[in-house]
Amino acid sequence: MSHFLRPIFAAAFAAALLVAGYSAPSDAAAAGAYDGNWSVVINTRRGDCDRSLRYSVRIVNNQVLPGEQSYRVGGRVSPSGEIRVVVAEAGRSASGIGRLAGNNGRGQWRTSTGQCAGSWTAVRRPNNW
Amino acid sequence: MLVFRMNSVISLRMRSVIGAAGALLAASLLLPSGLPYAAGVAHAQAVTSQPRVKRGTAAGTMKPAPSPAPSTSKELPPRVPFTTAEDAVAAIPGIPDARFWADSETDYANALPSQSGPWLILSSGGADGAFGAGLMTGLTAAGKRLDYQVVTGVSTGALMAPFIFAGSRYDEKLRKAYTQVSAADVFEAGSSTGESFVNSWPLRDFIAKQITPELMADIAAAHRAGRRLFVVTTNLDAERSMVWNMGAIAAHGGEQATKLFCSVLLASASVPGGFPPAMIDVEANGKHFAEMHVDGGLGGQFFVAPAALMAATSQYHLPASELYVVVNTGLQPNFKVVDRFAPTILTQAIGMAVPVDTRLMIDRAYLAAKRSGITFNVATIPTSFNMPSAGAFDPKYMGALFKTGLEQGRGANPFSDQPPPYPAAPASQQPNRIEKTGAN
Repeated sequence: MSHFLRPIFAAAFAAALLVAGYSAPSDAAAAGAYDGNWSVVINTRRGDCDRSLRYSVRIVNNQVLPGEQSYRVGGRVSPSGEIRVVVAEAGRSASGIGRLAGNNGRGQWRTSTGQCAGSWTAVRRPNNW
Repeated sequence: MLVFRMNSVISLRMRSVIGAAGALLAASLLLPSGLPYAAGVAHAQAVTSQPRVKRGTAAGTMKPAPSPAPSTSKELPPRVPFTTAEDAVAAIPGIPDARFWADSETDYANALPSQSGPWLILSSGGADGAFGAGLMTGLTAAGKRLDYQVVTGVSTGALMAPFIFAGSRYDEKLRKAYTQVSAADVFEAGSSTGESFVNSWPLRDFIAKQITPELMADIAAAHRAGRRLFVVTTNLDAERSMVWNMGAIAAHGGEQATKLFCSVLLASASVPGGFPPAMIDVEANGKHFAEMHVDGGLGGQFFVAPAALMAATSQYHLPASELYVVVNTGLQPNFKVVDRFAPTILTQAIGMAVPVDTRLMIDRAYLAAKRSGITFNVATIPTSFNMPSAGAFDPKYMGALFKTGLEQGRGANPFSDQPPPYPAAPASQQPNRIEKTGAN
């Protein structure tokens, strides 16, 4: 995998739970359905990318945040748990789609060029571990 | 208030840098030298490139960065202070024979088995432990697997040591542990506690699943039969290596012993800074405190005997019948144009230091064996193995290295009776050398 794409997919782990294109939900109760800490595993199925990486992300009031502010990404989870992810850097991008349900989530991701693609899974984690 | 906010900003900034460096270091320190530490590099680059992420790119759907929210990192409790004198006599409550200082010749002698026999020494090496796992499985297949009287392990060598010590019926678990794991099973970025770059809870959970009551019972039985399983950690407070008598811990039994057993394995493979240290509760003269334990490789890439006994000037004879050393790390230098980026520089530096230390230690073990009048046997990763790893803990890479070890174990000469040659100049330099010679 070309090195320029590595950052994108490194960030994609965090991005996997980022929602693009959703408006902020107005229902505060529904907004918190997926609040908490999530551990996201990015798996590469095609292309010369890292085989797997695990990252921590947080969801607060349906806003998706990086585990420790290391990744400057943002987004929202829809009330139904749908996810659409876009990560961009220097004109290059990767996208992911998927869904959260209960304490788990899963989806797919790919580069905009199709050079790498794979799947992601997520599991809710305790607040302290 | 302003000061507080400034500190918060600085803290977040620092955490970002730490997060970047963390995955890189963790991956690099767990991986053999010279491999592409893609996971860490990727994460590091992702973080460092964050100011360049443009809002509105990618079909204009990117949301701006969210406002900071409370961090998930919990406050680490303050440490109970203790003195070097207290630490010198500290012990595990209820398991007094759980450990000894690696520089204590007396304690070492007392912990050794009463019967002589073959010793197996398992080195550090991160993901390259797949080689050792494959080698041992191959020895089983060839009918050459011995019941080692003593097994010692450092870092990844520590992680595989319990299975090898417990016997060949654990070969399949060993194979799975070294061919079916990935980076996601070892560490998580973005949730560090401030004492390391990444969080190692995945490895902690993985170890806990591997150390079953059945395995503990088998290790305890072997210990009672007189065999010994030693794992080395580094007591970072004391800057001294510590040897853990894992058979004695297993023989103690109970939840506390199992928890300690797992903590020791995790500590032995936890490169400081990359992974969190393991805090181990001890007691000294009625005072309770916790010691900070990290990767055993800091004190040497494998352990045979206290350093003073291994010295070239020592007259000590190892009470073993044969010495087998499995080197789980490549010994060849790996060329790389190093980025002007601290984690990358550290990665390359450590990647060089570990094989150099390992190679020197092989010489020392060879001399100790010769002095003791016992056979010396060393297995190293063939220099012909040069498959690249797609990031940290690439299952395909580890599977290929396991197979290499397996074939070597099955082969006619799985071990060499002499240390391997020191790395020669890369082949690409040979023509230049010849030209120079000719010009002279």
